[in-house]
Amino acid sequence: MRVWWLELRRSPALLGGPLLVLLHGAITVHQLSPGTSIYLNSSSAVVSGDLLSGPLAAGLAAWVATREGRRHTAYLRVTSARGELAQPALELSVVLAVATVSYLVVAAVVLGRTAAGATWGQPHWAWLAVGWMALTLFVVAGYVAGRLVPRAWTPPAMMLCAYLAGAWNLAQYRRPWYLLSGATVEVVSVFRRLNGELLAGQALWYAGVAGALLAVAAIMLGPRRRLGVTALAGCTALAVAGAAIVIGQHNRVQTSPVSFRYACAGTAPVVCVHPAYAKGLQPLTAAFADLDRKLAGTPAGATRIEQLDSDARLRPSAGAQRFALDNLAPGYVQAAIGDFLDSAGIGPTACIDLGEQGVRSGAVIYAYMVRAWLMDSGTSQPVAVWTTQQRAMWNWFVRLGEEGRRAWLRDRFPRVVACQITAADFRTAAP
Amino acid sequence: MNGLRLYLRSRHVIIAVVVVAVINLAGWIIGRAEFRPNEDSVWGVPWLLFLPVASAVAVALSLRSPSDTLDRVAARPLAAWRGVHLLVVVIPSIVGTVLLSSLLSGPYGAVAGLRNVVGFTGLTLLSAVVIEGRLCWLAPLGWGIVAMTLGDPRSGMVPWDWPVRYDDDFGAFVVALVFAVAGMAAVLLGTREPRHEDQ
Repeated sequence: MRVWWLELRRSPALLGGPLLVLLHGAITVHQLSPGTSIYLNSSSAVVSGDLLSGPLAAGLAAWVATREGRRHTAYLRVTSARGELAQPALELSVVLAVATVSYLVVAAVVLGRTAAGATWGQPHWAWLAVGWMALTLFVVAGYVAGRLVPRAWTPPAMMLCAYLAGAWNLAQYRRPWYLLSGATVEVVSVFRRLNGELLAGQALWYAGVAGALLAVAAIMLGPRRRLGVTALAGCTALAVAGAAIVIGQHNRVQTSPVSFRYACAGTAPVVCVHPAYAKGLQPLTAAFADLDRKLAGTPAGATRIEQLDSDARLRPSAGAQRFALDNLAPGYVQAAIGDFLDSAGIGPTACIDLGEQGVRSGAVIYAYMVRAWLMDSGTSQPVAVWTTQQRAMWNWFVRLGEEGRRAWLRDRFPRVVACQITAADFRTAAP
Repeated sequence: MNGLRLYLRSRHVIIAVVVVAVINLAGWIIGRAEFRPNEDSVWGVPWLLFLPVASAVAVALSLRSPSDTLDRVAARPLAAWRGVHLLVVVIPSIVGTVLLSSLLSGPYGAVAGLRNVVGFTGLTLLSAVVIEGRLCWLAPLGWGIVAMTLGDPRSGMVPWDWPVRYDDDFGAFVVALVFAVAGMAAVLLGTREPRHEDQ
């Protein structure tokens, strides 16, 4: 153990540790969903931190591995009373320990912050463990590269290549092999459960590739080549099995809907959110009650509104309507109201089928005006790009007063959702 | 003349210049390819602007002395030699990057290319002086990948992500220039090397 501590002091791991925490923490914080404390999101953010800390860990591991080559001390390892692989194992274990500690520090801080405000769920330990295995793979790949090519440029080249590979892979998210990468960024939903088979496949893949790389290094450095070849064959088989499982999942990070009990409030309408978003329930209830008064007497009025994610395949319960909400960042109430109006066909989305014609005729602008009133008090300023005539229409609409606008909407609702409102509709009613 | 020849050979200056040329050739192949942080991103950063990191590392590695202890006790001052050496390897890097980035369209162009090549070179040289000669890649690569992944060229905040800012971002250029001046001044005294590791 004393030798291990000596190695820790000699290696640049003490310098690299804080850097690893910094890089891993930077992207983790960036991936946290604003305003929320959701374990699933926290776990996802911690795992995505490998995108930055993985390449750095690979570079540091390669640096440690090149030390013997640049100091020409291979004879010490070969002639030592200890096994020929003892020193490489010691070096690798130190870098791995530093990378692991940095990963744990970031995970502990993020999960601790989440625990302070979480209203639902628990940490996804399996996913976090798979993220750690991916980081381990970066370390092993860097170390083996440094051992096999002990040049001054090997560590930076390793770090650069690892990052470029991860960044390039981000753009390949539709490819079946996308999730084989050790550095992916996933946006996950609390409405579905994680794909356990995918995690198992990734774990096998990472372990298999790391094992195969170590076996290659052992064959090159150690005396027992037959054992190394056997280990290489076994690990390759493991990696192939893992890759087959991952590819067979067709990039499904999440699978079936998860069962939970909605947190609900209000009466007209009853507004229900996922328990992980319970902090946002009261503002949403007030906003939807206000909207309900504006929509009274139209088919868009709802008795129950349920939160779902943006996946259209998820359906609300019978008799309920839906809105999508992914975070509680400032403006989330407006975002939820906007999504509800979109799904009710009120606003510019109702004009999508008209295409260019809708823009030329001004129907999109008129639909926008209606939506702007429904989303706030109706006192918004005219949009800068509107024409003088459109500004005059908006001012007329504002002067109608709240009751006048509600009556206006009741009379024209079928035409609003069909995107058939014209300029004439803003002049016919008396202010 | 004999001293110059020995200096060039000991620092692998010719190899460094060739590596810089190869990196610029890679930049020509990369062309206008862009990195987008995610599928919904409305902006992308040309990979070409990240390439000067590799040139900078090649430059800094060539500035290392193979016999640092001897250098430090030498009667002949080596600061001027290092300065000329630096110019010989940096100028091709600057010229190549500026030429390549001038072919970019949109908000990125020759100014961003020049900013990144001098900024990354300065940061690499600082890293070689402050951390260690062989670890000169640590700061520029770390900074570069964080800026590429998390930076926002449209941000009005402090330009910590200067490598991805647009051409017209004055603050980003100033940050790069500060790194360049500090790095080039510091490296005239030699890179930091571990004691008794003259190899």
